[in-house]
Amino acid sequence: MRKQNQNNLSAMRTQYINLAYGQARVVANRNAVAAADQMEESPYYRVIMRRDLAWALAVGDDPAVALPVCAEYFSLLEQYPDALSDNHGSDIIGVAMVAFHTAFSLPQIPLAQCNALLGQFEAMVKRYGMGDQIFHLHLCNFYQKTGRMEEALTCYEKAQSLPRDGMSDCPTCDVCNRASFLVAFGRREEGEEMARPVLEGQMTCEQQPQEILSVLLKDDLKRGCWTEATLKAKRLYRIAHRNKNDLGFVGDVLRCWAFTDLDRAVTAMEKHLKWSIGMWEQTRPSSFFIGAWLTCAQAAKKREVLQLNLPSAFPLYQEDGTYPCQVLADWFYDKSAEIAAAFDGRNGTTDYADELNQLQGLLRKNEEGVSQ
Amino acid sequence: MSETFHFQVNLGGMLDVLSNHLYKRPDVFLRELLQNCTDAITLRGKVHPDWSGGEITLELEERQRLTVSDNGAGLTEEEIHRFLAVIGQSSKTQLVEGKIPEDYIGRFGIGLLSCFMVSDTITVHTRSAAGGPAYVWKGLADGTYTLAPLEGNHPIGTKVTLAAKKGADHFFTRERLEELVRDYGLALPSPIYFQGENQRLNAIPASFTYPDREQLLTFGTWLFNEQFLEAIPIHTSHLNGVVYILPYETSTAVKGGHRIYLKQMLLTEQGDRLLPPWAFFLRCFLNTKGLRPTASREDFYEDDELEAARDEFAAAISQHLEQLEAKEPDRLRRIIQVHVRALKSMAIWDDKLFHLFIDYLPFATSQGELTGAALKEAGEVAYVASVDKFRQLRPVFLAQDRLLVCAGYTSDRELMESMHALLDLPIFSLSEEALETALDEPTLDQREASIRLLRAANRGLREFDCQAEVKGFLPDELPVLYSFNDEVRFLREIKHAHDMSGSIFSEALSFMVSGVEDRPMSSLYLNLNSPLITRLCTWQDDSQLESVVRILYVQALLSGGYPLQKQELQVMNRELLQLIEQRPEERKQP
Repeated sequence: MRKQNQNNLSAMRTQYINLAYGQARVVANRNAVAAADQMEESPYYRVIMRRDLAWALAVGDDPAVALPVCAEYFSLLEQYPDALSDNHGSDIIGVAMVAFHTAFSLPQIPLAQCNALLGQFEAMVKRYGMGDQIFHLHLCNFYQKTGRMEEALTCYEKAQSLPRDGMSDCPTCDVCNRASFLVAFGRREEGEEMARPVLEGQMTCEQQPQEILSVLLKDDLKRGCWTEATLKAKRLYRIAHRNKNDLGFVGDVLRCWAFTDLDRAVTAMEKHLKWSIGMWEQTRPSSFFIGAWLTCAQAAKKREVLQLNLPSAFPLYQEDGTYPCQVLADWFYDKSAEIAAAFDGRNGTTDYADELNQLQGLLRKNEEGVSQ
Repeated sequence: MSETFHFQVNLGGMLDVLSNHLYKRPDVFLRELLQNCTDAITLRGKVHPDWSGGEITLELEERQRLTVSDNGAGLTEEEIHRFLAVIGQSSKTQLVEGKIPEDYIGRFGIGLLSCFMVSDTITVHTRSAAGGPAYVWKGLADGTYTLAPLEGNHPIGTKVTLAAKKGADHFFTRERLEELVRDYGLALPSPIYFQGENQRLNAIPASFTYPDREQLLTFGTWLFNEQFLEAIPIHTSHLNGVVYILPYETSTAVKGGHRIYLKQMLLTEQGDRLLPPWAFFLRCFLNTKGLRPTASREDFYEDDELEAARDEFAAAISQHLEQLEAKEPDRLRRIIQVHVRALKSMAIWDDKLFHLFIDYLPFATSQGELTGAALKEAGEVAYVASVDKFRQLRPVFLAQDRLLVCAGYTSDRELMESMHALLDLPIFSLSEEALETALDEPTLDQREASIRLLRAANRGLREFDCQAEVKGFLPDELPVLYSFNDEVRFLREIKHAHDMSGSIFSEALSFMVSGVEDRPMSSLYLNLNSPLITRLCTWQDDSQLESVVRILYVQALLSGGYPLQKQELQVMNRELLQLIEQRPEERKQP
């Protein structure tokens, strides 16, 4: 019987692993976790399927929803210390990493708790003797987002000096992460040069080039380089508008299209708004709301109302599909400002507010039109 | 004043990186050699338009040595220094009107390095068609090379000789080389022979020249060793070839097994960059043009041309299937039968494909399996995006003769949304609110009779963030129905995880939900048609009612396949025990 159960669980696992990341995979993975929980004699599947689920949520759905899954994973590991062999060290570090990353993307979780999860991540890295490099890159990100730029730079340099190992990001993500840090440190040219093989298509992976395109696109907009931004926006949208996890990228694209291709911006906003509803993770909706705000604000300069087919769960939903542009713009701005205040308050920075102010300036400047 | 310095390059190390890490598999060395041969033949043909008869020859000493020769343009001494000895310099990167000429395959000047994956030395004998003596160039993996003129009469062209290095001798067998030539060089215009033999190694069967469907299928069997269901010829501005439909269902994760060529040279067997994600039920034999390869020439560069090629591919498949629908509907039905999952993915990818397939696609419903065509005629249809929820609600809908679709399987939810949006059908997702409207409201008398039970139930369920409601629904045998929305489910998960975990996570999880102002409640519907519930309506003991409702609550969770929280796990035993311990005479029956 036990053998039969294990075979069934193994078959369920194979089934969801064969699905592409997205909602269908999450549903199949959840069903498998429920089945494993009912067969309590097999902690291995209960643990390993939660790792899969955390990953599926982080990559193809709402990443924040992964946090309780990570919590259950570590709790089960405590309960059944032998459920996984030491060969699974990279899995365990991976879940600790997702847990920290997820918590940090939720502004309502204070820095003390994020720090505690970061500490757990570090402890796992030490216990299993791998992942030092990727840990330092995450630490660098943590310092950077909390305004500790000098420590971030030191951490970046430390990460540069550490060897790659089994926990390291894939070479493509590795290059892009480093390039992103250089852009954040104001070393755009170096960053772009580093990312060139990715931008030229010689290196790709599931996450790239979309992430590096997003970083460079936002930097282009900040510097007023509209031609470059337009090219990147087109490329980014082509690659990254397939699942809920892409919501932030769609927001980045809207920031550009709001000024360069308003018709397309409105269509994309209408199409992807549903992903933002009920999303717990906050960085992606924040990016989307900013893009939607700029889109509606630009539309408001040209017309009173927009005819849109928006989901009924949207708070401003109108049965007849008629939406005043300015009302939409104000709502999206308020949501953006609310999230910005929460992040800035938690992180002890003004980064998010500064970004909104800069974009306000862009909207004002654009009264006279932005040339492509 | 600052001085300028040059990077010091460890050439041996660099060769190691380029040759052993740029390419995913060592056998690409043959592709690179064939590519150079083809480009040299193309160049000679361009310089001397009257010349034809380019060919490539393989000479093999089994498991020891391989020589690949061509009678193309060859190299002069100056070209040898420029192209063989400088990494990143290619004879084919001279731009014509700002572009790399379309008829050359190579471009990065690093292809020859791949030979170091299988040989420690590369020996090149060459004589240029432009005149001058022949030369022998010998490159070593440590980054050094020698060059010497050759005496005597040598034919125009280039001969590259590799000596099998330890562990790579299996590439130096006739069988493996024939296989590699067929893989990489099948579509090359120049013939490839073994030295002294007439049998062309890269011959496409003659039947492929002007093929009809049967000939294409025969070719597919020859190439892929499969008995395909259908062959779809493709001729667009970026693609030429044939696409086959597999005779069996495949996993969505299967991306390989294709033969995708760039300018007649095999570029990749993986279709994930060029082909749309739903193409996992197809095998492609495609030659591409106008697309850019990556440096390792193992995939395509993501740009507008690639996007256009992808659109052309989808349009060609769609057009062919449309024609099948009109002319050979039985064949289309057979394809749908085998590849329903793939076709569902296609239908959500493209509205046109949606309209094409939807009538044929099957869905699990409360009335058994129904096709999209049947759903179109069914009137009001509700769907739930969870298999468990569907199982739980199926008897309710069945008893009420209403239609419920299970949209918990891959692509089904999106297809239901499209049926509503594109066909304007009354198909809607069954929200918790909508579920309530599907249940009968109690009469005033029923309401009065059930008020004690309802109050006791709400007290008993408060600790589970659940509220009770009395409704009437079929079947009678179902005493309660549990329902919640996504937000409640997620909050349940957080609570469950919070119960299970130590302080690090439990604090973070508490903060996670700290901003939630109104705690969303799940619902337990008590069925007034059920004899059990009507009996409970007559009980007067509030404490016993609370116990029974808690038991019914846990039973509803179990039957719906929901994970139980710690307190819920304990409740069943506790309440049963309490009921057992109460003696019958203590129960206040009417």
